[in-house]
Amino acid sequence: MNGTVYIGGTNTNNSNSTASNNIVTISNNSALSNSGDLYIISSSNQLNVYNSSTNSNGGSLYIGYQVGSNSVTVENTSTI
Amino acid sequence: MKKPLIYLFFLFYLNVVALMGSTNLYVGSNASGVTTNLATNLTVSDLYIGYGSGSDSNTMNLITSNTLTVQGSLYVCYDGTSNTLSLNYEKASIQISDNSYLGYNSDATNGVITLSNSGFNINSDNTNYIGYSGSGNQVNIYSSRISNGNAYIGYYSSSSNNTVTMNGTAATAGSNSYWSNGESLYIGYQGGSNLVTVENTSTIKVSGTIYIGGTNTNDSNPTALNNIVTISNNSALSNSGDLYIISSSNQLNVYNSSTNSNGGSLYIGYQVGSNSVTVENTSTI
Repeated sequence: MNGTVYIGGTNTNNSNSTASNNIVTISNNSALSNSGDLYIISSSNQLNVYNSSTNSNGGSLYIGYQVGSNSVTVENTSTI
Repeated sequence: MKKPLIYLFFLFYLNVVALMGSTNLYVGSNASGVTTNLATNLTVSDLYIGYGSGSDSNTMNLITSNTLTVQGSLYVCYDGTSNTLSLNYEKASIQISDNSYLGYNSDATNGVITLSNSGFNINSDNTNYIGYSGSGNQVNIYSSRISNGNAYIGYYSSSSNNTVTMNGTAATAGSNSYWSNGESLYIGYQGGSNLVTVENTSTIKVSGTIYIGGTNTNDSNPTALNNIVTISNNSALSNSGDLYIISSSNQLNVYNSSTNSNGGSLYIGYQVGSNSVTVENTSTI
């Protein structure tokens, strides 16, 4: 995609405190590809990349932009 | 001066056509079990299939490669339950100038539109409501083409459990299903538990924005829960703008060599949490 990926709110959103427990899973030779940044913002959100899969961002990757307890997991010949 | 007979006949023909074009058609008005099989081209103003109390299980079938032209709006299940519109013949089509409503009132449940090898076209400035106030309505698209401006699935909070199923392997091999949205697509605008399934080389194209579970300007998002979009088996969800997943417990699943491509940004849990995006088996997003 051409833009930005936001997981759990946005970097300009006042309601981020309610945007928790969102999960993105990329697995089995699959891909998440974007030309901009990727933000994981609110708490307890996850990005999982499993089994020869790829997450490629044209910009920066922010894990826990405003709140903590987020996770990124990359396993089994996957890349990020 | 005396008019030739053929001239008078021509005027009569024009009047008949004009009358047909300005007349509403009701299939089942306060009545149940009415079936109308259409085997010719027909032009009407508004078309109602199931209108008024007790209007259940009424059906309109297009049974040849004819065209039904609706110069106003289409209402399948304005009231009642299990009212149906079926286009089951190759190249049968319906052309709608205004809006299409499936499940108009809150008592309008389990209405069905089924398209097989056929076409369903709404004016590009107008809207396709799949579940307006009613719930449990469904659209089945088998090797068919559908087009509209905006489309809403589950418009009001009372409109839940509506389904759209697209499949590319119907009677005519190689004839895939294609849904073109000239503007935006809303899956669960206020309603919850709506389901969109796109299978077997089918495609949804959206020129604007895709919203799953409310909108980014909607105060009623708390009711737009548990909406699910699944793209599988070499199918595609393609949009030119952003894709928002807003309220809670909504899902976007992309399985088995399928694609979701967004021209803009992707928001997962824009306001509320516990949403998921799952991309599996050589799929991309």
